[in-house]
Amino acid sequence: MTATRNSGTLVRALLPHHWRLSTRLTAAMVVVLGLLLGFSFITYGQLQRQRRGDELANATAITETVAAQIDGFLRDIESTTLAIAQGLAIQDVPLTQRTVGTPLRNVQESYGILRALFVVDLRGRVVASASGEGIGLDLSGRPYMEALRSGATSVWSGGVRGFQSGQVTIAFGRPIEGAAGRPHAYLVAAFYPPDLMLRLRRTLPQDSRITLIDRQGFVLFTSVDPNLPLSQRDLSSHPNVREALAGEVVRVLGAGVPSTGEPRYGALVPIRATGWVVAFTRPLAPLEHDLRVIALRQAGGAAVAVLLAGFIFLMITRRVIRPLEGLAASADAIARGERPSLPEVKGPVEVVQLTAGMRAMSQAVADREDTLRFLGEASRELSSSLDDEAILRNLSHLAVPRMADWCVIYLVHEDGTVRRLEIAHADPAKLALVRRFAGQDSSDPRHPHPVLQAIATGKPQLMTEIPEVVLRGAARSEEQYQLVQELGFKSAMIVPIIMRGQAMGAIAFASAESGRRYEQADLVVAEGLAHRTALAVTNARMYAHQRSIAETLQRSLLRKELPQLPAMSVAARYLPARPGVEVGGDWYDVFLLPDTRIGMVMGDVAGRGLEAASVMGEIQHALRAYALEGHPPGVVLSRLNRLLELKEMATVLYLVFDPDSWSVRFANAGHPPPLVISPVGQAALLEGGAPPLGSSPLTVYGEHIAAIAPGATIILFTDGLVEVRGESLDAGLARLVAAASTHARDDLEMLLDRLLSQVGSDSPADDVALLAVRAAPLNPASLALRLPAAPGSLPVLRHTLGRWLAQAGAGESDIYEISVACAEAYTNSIEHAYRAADAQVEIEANLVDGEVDITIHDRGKWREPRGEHRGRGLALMRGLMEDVQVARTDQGTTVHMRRRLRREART
Amino acid sequence: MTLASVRIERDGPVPVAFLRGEIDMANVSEVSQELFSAAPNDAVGLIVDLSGVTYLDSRGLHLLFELAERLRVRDQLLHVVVPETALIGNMLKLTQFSSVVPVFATVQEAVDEML
Repeated sequence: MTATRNSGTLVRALLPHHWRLSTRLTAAMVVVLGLLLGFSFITYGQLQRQRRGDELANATAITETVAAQIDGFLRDIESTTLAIAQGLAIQDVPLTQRTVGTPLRNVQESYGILRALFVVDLRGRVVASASGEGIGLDLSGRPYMEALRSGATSVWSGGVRGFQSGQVTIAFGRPIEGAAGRPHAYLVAAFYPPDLMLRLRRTLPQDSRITLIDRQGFVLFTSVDPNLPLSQRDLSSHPNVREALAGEVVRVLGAGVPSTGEPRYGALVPIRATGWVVAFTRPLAPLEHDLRVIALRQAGGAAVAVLLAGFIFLMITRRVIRPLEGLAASADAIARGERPSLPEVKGPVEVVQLTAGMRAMSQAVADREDTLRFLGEASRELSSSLDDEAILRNLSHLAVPRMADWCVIYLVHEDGTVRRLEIAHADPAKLALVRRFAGQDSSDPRHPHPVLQAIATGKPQLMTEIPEVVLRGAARSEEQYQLVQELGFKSAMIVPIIMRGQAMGAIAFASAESGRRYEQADLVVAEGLAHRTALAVTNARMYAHQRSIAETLQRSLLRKELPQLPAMSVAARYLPARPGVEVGGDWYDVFLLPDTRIGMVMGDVAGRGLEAASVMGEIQHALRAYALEGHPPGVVLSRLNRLLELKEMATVLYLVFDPDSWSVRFANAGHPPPLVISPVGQAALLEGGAPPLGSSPLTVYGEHIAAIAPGATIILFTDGLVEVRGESLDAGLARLVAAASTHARDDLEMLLDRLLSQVGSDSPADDVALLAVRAAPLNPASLALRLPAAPGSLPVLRHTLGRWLAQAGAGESDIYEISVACAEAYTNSIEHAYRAADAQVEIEANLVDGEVDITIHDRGKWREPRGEHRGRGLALMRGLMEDVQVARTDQGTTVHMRRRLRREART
Repeated sequence: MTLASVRIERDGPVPVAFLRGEIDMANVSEVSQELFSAAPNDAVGLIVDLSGVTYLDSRGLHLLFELAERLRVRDQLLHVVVPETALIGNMLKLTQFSSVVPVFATVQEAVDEML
C-alpha cells in the first residue's frame, strides 16, 4: 500500500496533474528514452568487456595449445634422442660415420624437421652426422656442450647461430652412456625454429602472430618477421615476457609481442619442457570493428526507438490529444450554450466513441434547448391572447409542422360534450381530408374514441406505431379506411389539456408524410405544450372573469340613469380604454342635494382592475354620504381623505352647483379642473386645487367659489380625455377649451360627443369620463315640471318654483305662500294618490298679467282627507290662493289654483 | 337627508328649541322626535323658536299642534317665537294658530310670559 502510494506520489511529483497530456507524454518519453539510452550504453560496455574477455580467453587457449604442441615436440625430441642414445650405448661399437651414420640418417629423415643429428665425441668433435655433413666440427665452445661435458644428462640450447646456415638454431644434447655408466659420446640434435613454428602456424588464424622466446628472452622465432635481425631479438626486458618466463600465463591487450605498433591482444604461455615462452597475438582491429558495428547497431536501434517514439507521440497527439482538446473545447462551447459542429474524427475507437457520444450529447442538448425554446415561444404565443378559443386555435398552428403533420384540437364544452375546435395540416390541401376524418367521431362503446378516452381519464395516449392491421381493424367503414390511407397515419399521440384536475380539451398529434414516430420524449414535449395551453387558458378565463367582475362593479357604480333635474340637462360619457386594458378607476356621480343644489363628482382612483373599482365604490359612497349630510365640498374631501388613510390614491373633484345664485362651489383633490362654458361660448377652466386624496392625511381641502353665467354648462372630466401620448397636458387642456368654446351652443349630448371626438385620442390609453350639467334660464311666462311623487321632490318643487317666481318678479311672501300652497297640493298627491313607486306628478305654472295660474296633476285617485289636521292642507291652499279648484276623475286628480301677485312686491 | 336642524338649550329656566331650515313632509317626523323629547317632566313648558325656519307647511303646523296637545296633557305650556316680519306669519294667522298656541316676537318675551 505504502509503496504504491509512494510510487503514486512519485509519479505525481514527476508528472504534476495540471500538466497537459502532451506535456506528460513528452516527459514520459524523455524519461523512457533516457533510460533506454543509458541501458544500451551500459549493456554495450558490458558487451565490449565480455567480447574482449572472450577473445582474450580464446587467444589464451590457442596459445596454450600451441605451447602444448611445442612442448610435445620438444619432449618427443628428448625421448627419441634418449632412445637413440641408449641404443648406441648398448651396441658398444666405435661411434663413427660408418657405424652410426645410417641409423642417424633414418631417424632424421623420419623426423623431417631435424636439420642435424650428430654424434659428438667427448672432446666436442662431431664424429657422425645423419646427413653426413659437418663431420669434424668442433662444438666444444658451445654452452650446451660445456653443460654436457660437465655431466648434464640432457641440455637444450638457447638460440644459437647455426654452423652451416648461420641461422638461429636450437640444439639438444644428451650423453651416450658407455660402459660403467660414463658417457663416451654425446648425441646432439638440432632444428630450425621456423621449421617448427611455420608448421604450427599453418593451423592458426591468418591474422595471428606467433613468437617463440627462449629462457634468456631471446626471440627464437617470430611470425612478425622470421628474418628479424639478431640484434632486435632480445625481449628479456619486456615485462610481459619476464612475467611469462617466470612461469605465468600472461594475457596481453594492447601491443603485440614483439610490438609492431599495431594494437593486438593475445597471451604468453611458458613451455614446460624448456622454460621457453610462446606468444600468440591477434590484431584488435577486427574485434573493435565488430564492437563498433554492434555499437552502431545499438545506436541505430535507439534512433529507431526515438523515431518510433516520436511517431507514436505524433500519432497520439494527432489522433488522441488534438481530438480530445477539440472535444473539450466543444464541451465548453456546449456548456456556454453554443452549438459547435463536431467534425468526423478518424482515430482510436475510444476517441471516435467519445466524439460520437459528444455529438449525441450536443444533439440532445440542442434538442432539449429547441424543445425549451419551442415551449417558451409557445407560452409566449399562447399567452398573447386572452381569448381561450383563440389560444386553442393558436395551439394547432404551433403544433404543425413542428410536432405533427396534422393535428386536431378538441374542446370540452360546458355541457360535457367534446367538440372539434380546430384542425391544422402541414399541407393545406389535405385539410379537408382531416376534417372529414376527425368528423367521424366514434360512438362505438367497444372501441371508445382515444380522444374521449384521454379526456375521460386525463391520461395521454401514445401510439408509437400504428400497424396497417390495426388501422383496418379500427376503421368503422371502408370509407374511413380509405381516408386514413390517403391521410397517412404512421404514429399518433393524444394529450389532454388539464385545467384544475379536469380535462378541458385535448390535442391529437398525427404523423404521416414525415414518417416520424412519436416516442416517450415527444409525449413529454406534447404534455408540456398542453400544460402551457392549460395555463394560458386558465389565465385567460381568470382574466375574463376578473375583468367582468370589475366591469360589473364599475358599471354598477356609474349611474346609468342620470337624475332628472327640473329645468336642467345632465349628460355623461364613459369611454373605456382600448381593449386589452383593464378596467380603470374612473367614476362620476351627480345628485341633487337636500337644499336642491346639484352635486357633481368626478374621480379617478390610481390603478386599474378589480381593486381600483372597489376603492372607487368605497369613495363614491362615502362622498355621497358626506355630501347628502349637507357638508360643503372642502369638508367632504377632507373627511374622505381621512377615511382613506393613505391606503389608496385618488383624484376627486366635488362641485356643488347652485342654480338659484348661478354659482359653483368646489374642492379639487388633484383632479383636472372643472370646465365652465357660458352660453355665448366663453370657456374657462376653474383654477384651484390641492393634492390627491390619500397623499397626506393632514391635507385640508379648501373651497373655491365661482360665479357662472346663467345658462352656462359645467363639465367635469378625467385626464384620459386630455392626455395624448407625447403631448403636454396643457396642450390637451387648451384643445379642450377651444373645442368647448366652438361648440358651446350644441345640445349637451352632442357637445360631449364632439369633445370626445375632437379632444381625446382615437385609442385612449386610459378611460375617459365626462359629466356635464347645464341649467337653462327659466322661461318667465311659464314653467312645466314633472317630478316623482316622493317627499324628496318637495324641495325641488319649492326651489324651482321659487326661482321661476323670483325671476317673474314675485316678492318673498308671494313666493313663500304660493310655494306652500303648491307643496300642499303636491303632498296630497304623494300621500293620497299614489302607491306605485315611480309615479309622477305634473306641475304647470303660467304668469299672465301679474296673475299666477298653477295646475297640479296626478294620475292617482283622490282620497278624502282623514283626521283633523289633514283638512288643514286644503284649508291652507284655499287661504293662501285666491281660487282653488279640485277636479277628480278616474284618470287622476287636477288641482287648479290662481293668485294675483302683490303689487308692492312686483315693484 | 334633512334640511332642518333642531338645537335645544336647557341652560335657562325653560328649555328652548331653536328650529332652522325648511320643514316639510320629508323631515317632519325627525324634527318631531327631537321636539317631543325636548321638555323634561319637571319643566314648566317648552319654547320653540321658529325664527330660523325658512319654510313651514301644513305638516309643520300639525307638528306644532300635536306638540302643544302632548304638553297640555302633562300640564306643560308651549310658547312659539315668530318674528313679526317672518314669512310664515301670514300662514299662522290663516290657520288661527295663535288661538291654540301663544306666539311671541322674541324668546325673552316668551320666557317671561311663561314664568
